[in-house]
Amino acid sequence: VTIEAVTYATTVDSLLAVKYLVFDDKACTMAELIQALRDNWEGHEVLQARALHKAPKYGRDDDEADALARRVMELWTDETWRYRTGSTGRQFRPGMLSWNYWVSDGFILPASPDGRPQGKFLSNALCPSNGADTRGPTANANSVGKVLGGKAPDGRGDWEEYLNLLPNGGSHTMTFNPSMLRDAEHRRKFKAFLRGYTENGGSALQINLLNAEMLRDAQQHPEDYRHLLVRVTGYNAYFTTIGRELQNEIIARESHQMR
Amino acid sequence: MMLGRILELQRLSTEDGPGIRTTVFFKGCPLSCAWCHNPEAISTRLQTQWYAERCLDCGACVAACPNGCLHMNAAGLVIDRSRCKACGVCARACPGGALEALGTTISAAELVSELLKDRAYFEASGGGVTLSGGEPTMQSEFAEEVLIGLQAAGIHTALDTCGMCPPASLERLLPSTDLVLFDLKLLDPEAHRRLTGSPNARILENLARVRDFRSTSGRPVEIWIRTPLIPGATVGEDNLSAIGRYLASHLQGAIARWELCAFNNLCRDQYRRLGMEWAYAETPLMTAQELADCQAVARATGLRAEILATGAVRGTQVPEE
Repeated sequence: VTIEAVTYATTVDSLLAVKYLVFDDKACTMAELIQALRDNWEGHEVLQARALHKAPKYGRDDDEADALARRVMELWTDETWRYRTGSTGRQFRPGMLSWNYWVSDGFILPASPDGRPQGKFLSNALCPSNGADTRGPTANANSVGKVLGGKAPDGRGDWEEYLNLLPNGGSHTMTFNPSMLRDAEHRRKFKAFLRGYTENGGSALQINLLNAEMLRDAQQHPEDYRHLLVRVTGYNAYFTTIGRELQNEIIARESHQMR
Repeated sequence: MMLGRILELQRLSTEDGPGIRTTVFFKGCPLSCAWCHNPEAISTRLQTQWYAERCLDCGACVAACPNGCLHMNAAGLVIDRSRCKACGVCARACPGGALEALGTTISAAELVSELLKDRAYFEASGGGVTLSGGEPTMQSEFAEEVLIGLQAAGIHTALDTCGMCPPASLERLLPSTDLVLFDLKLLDPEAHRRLTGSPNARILENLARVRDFRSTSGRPVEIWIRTPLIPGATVGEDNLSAIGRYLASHLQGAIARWELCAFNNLCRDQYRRLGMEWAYAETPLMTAQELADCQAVARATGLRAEILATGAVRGTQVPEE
């Protein structure tokens, strides 16, 4: 029987933010942070910005942040393995798919210490929080691989040499620019990325190719897309850091590419 | 312990050599190309830049600046660049990441261990690490230590250079470099001086040094030539033909690949944030036809190498190669 956990990265990032804001940086006291959350961050915009932009996040291949993510993962999976169903005695097993609950539950769960106000989506399945993966796709993938268990230290995992803390499935979605696949040379590179993904502990990846519609959404909600790298030969830029006019140009370019 | 000054790392780089690479952008460049696409990497100094769209107007930076060189006006934050020492205090104080310190100082050992995080992708793709910039040879002792560290870990190394450096700086790096990405922008010395700030005699001499190192050292250092396609500057039959013929007569057989990299304008806002003018701010992207024409001109020069034109083009798909 599978128990699916939701809100994983939101939880991890919230713990990281509490540690950063209250204990490391001492930007506020615990009581002040709780008050800010009760107020849904309203009137606490500067503290919220610190939580969003200065606190460490899961998804950046930051060993310290990912170690805490791993602790959260083990806490939950160990607990799940301790129980069986009352009626049939079947084992509960951990998984991490969030279906659409990560969207709707965002309206139910109050503001969280990671800077998220009530009404904003939670993190999806195993994915880092939206926009948190500022170090690019390999860093994102490495963080996810680490929390899934990675390679067993003695080489004897429960899935060949790998540990898999989520035997009942964990979904991870990533988005790429279609130019990643623009010719045979780049398609080979992308295949190699997928091999590296599994080598570093990833088990299931859902791939999105970015399209013009998404870029328009990024113009409306730049805070969700700070990771979005627009790559053109020899130069690249984070989409949300370039001016509106140029964004429009790139959207026009992408619209064309997608036809 | 050797320290170096870098701008940033680009992981999953697919445009700076074979396979999947991490590109290290060094801070500082001896040239000042009119079209420079990485203006934040030109200065060796640390710099500060401001993103209007992230600013909360909270004033934390103004209060934190130890040199009193920040103030807010109706248009936003004003940085007095003549007094700014780019100490990074304001960037640390800024809650929203609107102020960013450009450039970090890092030890070679720390950089190497960061670069090794993507080893699995390098190995799966035949990739590795590319030192770029900016100009890595300007910090050649640091670059050497990084390359040696990578080589000891079995990682493929590439050096992306503009070739404008003392011969000793280049020669220091070649023994630990597997691939040299050598920029040749303009063959005419006067045009080179006018558009990049320096004549090109030393660059051509250094290219010959790489070729000679290749034949005398017994190390199979690969050479790729890269030429930026800049409308009104490097584009034009004369320049591309001249470069191709020069390579064919002086380096025939030594060049594996010649990449023609199309102009792009993504750095336009970067110039604005740095408070710099850019002559190419209004220049449109090239068309697929123009790119194909450049490729045809290059291929007609008789240089035996893989020759391809790459990059974003106006309104159409990047040409299939």
